[in-house]
Amino acid sequence: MTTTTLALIPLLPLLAAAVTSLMRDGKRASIVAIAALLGSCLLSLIAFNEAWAMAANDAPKLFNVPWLELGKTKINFGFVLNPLTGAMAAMVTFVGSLIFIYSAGYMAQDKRMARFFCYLSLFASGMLGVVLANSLILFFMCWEIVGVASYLLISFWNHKPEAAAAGKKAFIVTRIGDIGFLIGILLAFKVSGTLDFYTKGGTGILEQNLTSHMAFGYQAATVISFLLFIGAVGKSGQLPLHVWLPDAMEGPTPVSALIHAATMVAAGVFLVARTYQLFDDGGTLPLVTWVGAITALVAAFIALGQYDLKRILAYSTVSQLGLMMVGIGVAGVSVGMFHLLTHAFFKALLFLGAGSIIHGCHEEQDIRKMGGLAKPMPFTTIAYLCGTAALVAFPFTSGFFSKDEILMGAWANDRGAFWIATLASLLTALYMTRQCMYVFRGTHRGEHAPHESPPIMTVPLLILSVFALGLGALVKNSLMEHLHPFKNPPTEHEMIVIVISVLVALGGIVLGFMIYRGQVLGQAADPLALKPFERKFWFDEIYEATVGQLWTLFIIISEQLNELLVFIRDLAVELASRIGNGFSIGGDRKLIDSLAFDGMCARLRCAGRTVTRPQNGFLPGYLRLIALGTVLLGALVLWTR
Amino acid sequence: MDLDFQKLLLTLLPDLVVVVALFAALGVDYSRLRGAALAKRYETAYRISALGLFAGLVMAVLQACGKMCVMDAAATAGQLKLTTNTLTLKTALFALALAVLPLAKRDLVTTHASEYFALILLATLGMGFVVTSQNLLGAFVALELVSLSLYAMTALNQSRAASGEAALKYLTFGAVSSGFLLFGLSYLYGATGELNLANLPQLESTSLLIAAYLLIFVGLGFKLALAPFHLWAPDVYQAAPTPVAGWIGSGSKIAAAALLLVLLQPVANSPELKKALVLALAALAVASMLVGNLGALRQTNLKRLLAYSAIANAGYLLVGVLAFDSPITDKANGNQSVLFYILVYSIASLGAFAVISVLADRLGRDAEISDFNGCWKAIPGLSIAFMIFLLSMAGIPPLAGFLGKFYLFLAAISALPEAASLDQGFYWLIAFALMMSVVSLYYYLRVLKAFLVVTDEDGEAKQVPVGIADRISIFALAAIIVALGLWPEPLLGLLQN
Repeated sequence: MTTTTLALIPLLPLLAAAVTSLMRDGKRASIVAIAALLGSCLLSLIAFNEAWAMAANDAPKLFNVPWLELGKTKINFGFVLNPLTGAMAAMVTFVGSLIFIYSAGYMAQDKRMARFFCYLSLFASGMLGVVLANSLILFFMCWEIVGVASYLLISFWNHKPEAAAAGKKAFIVTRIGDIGFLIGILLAFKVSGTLDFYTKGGTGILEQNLTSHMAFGYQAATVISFLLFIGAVGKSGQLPLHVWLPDAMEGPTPVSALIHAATMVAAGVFLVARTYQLFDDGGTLPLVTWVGAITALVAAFIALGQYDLKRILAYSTVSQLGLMMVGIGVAGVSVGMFHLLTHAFFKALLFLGAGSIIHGCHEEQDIRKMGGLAKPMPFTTIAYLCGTAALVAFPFTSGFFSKDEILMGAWANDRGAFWIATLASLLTALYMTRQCMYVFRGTHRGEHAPHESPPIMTVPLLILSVFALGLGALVKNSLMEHLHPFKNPPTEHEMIVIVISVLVALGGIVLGFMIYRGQVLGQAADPLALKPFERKFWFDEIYEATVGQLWTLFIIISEQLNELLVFIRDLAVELASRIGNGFSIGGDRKLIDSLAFDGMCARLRCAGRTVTRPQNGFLPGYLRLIALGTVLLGALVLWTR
Repeated sequence: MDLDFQKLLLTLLPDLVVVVALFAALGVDYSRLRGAALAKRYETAYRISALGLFAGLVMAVLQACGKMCVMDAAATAGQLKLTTNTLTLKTALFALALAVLPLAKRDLVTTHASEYFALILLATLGMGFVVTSQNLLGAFVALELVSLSLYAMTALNQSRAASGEAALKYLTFGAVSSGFLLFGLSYLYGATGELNLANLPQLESTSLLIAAYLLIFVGLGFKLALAPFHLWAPDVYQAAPTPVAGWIGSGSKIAAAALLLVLLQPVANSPELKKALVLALAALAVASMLVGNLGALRQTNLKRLLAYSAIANAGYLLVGVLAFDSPITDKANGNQSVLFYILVYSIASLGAFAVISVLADRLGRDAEISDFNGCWKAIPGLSIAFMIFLLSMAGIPPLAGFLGKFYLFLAAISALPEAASLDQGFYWLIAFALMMSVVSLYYYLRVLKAFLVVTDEDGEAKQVPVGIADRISIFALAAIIVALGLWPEPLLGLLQN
């Protein structure tokens, strides 16, 4: 791997975005975009292979390119290759390729298909930049590219007001997190004097010990990691900034799969994993754990009360991201990243499956109007059930292995977080069973007859199914070995943890089955969709009532203030107008206008005439000026000597 | 002295190829194409000279990379200095000349087809020798080669009486200035007894040397169009064929600036002398910025406006020249900042003239600013390129012109680091330069307003045919401006000694 080949991984999709932005024909654009991403997928796999040959604590391979040099300060662009970035790049490009292929089928009828692939490529390029960046500034730039691209993609169907609003909401809410992130970057630069993660001399941010520095009266590492975590919270939809993610389901379904399952929302978790040393040094890991745990639980509750197929998955994603945070918090990078990788596969599968279902049901998203889809859509059903099994951590699926590691770490390090995570897992099994019962059992309740999707959509589904089931067992050991090792490795596998996790998964499924077996779905009230769940714990309303009301309050106050000011003004105006009249004529008109600004400009133009006066076209005058100039120059030097 | 002629031949191969092309163009035109149509003669001369220049460019690049026999001092008996730095300048000059050629072909201004191209090549050769020469006399002769070619080219615009008049003025003016330059160089020789710049002894602050340098400033001030030696510029820019004006405003500026820097290097070791000279340079800088910027305000003709802008930019350039040995980064110093600036300015200026020649000469007009009203509609691509060139000259980030100015001022600020108070150092000069930059925005934006905002009143279709070569050269120049603004490091690195 050289700089060029590594840099090509994000650059290929960027190039594709540039090319497709000029294309009209959607089909050709999709071919260009898919080819570019397959190319970077191939390169990523090579890079991954190389990174995997490195031992866990080897120095990473660096490729720093100087970008700007201002005085003594140098700012580098660069890429880094270690097991973490290698694995992540391979996952993003692989899942991304499948989603791109699927999109070619899903968006085939759309008039703006070329534009869609342009945005998708831009997004992929930004995401790969985030993954491979070796400096906080490049990381942040790509992070923002990802933000813009996701805004464009979520509001892609901008003729729908909800989609436009959802795009805006996603952009603004994540921006709140980005402010924290940016301040963190600046602070890190101030404290450490560099923005590179690693450098050849071992002076990168992650290689220095920042604990001895202070910032705002706290340890620098604590403050910086806290600020970076705010950025991660925004991007990864953690409480309290999770509200944008479910609304973002207004975008086309492949977008939901790409952004909200595999890549963008994982960027926040990846950020924490990337800068894990800072969190470890700064002692902010418990914060990560508990924000994650509470998010996991709350989102799982909300998912129970939703009827929109994609919204359930969205809340499930929020919940699973919380679990990843718990994993990183209690057990280190390897555990969190393991769940991130397995989740990327099975959640992408679920979203693409949901897309196939929605497609087959003629753009119907309400699960109450589905039902009985197992027969007309056999491939989709099988794939969807595989994804569900992995999500609920059914024994020996990939989700089972990764979730097990998280629970194991929590059991060893933080019992409170363990019980919350267990409860969240139970709820996961419950809401997924509920959803499957609604969608696949009984008779069809919609108006149009459902149909199976074309092979370009189902083939990626089946490929992903294989990974959703098998990946966990396959990569578990090598992943644990290569990524950052356990913080406090549990001395032995606690049998009780495994037993609890299996019981929870199976129990949730059985419970859900029992509750919904006798129900006439879609007509009677849903026993689990309690009011608080259905209304998402009134988060939007609370924000409306607090932040929104605060603004309203501000408006009222400022209006009153305005009234007061108007009164004072009237009083003052009378007074001032008399003084002002004097000034306006003497000061403004005469001094400022005619003397200062306008006068200055006029004088400059006049001066233009003066300085061009020698330019009269007569050669003798020209030559005289040379002589005059020479003499004057000599006189000046003589005079100052 | 023994010269290894084989080695000499190899090291001068780029120049030889251009000379051969030059004669080939003349020969073919005189013999085979006698009586042929003018357009055909232009096309043939253009092809031959472009081919030769391109071959020369490739070889110069190879030399600059060290892939082709680069001379040791012995091969030219120390006459030339061929380092990465000087070869980069030479390469840049050849490349810019290559961009001029297609423009010259556009407009059949004269019946002397092959001479036109031969003169461009001659001027280019001269510039190449100016930037590589290490000998006072050699540099002077090369500079005269440039000047004489340019005088002749200025007269080539046969459709305009003003062309001949401007050429005569240019010639007379130039002859007088060359006298000053030669006078200065001979004083320098007289005081040191050495023609080779590499062997100059430690200079002392004597009146003779000060006089020598002042005379040199006058002579080179003419080439750079420094006030008060600028009077030829507006007339020549306006009356010369547009590609020639572009070449006068870019290539010869690079050569003169490089020569000025080379001549100043020995001064670095003599603080007394330097102090005396720096003040003279500062005075010239102030005068140029004043005359250039204020003079440009009231111009209605775009070419004259660019002439005044050239005067102003020469003034900015001197701000860097007088800080030629002060550091700007850990590797680069004022020398690099000056060369960077002049290269970037020349690219932008040549680009602007290229756009003018594509647009105005076809309309048979005199490039009044109002002639360009509403160009945006007819030729959006070229208008955007033109905007890039002008904004780069005005120093708007992120274009290269901004960085160029930034480096110049950085050098001037660090020129006297121990005296970094407001009344010492060059803060006052930089403040003045910045103020003048604000004034300059007014006239640049006035031009851009005509291009991009004002609609065309007489409704005449401004559609002009733009050849592929013109298009390539204009867009390549614009792309370089943008690229250098974003990533200046490679060029800055190449310009280091």
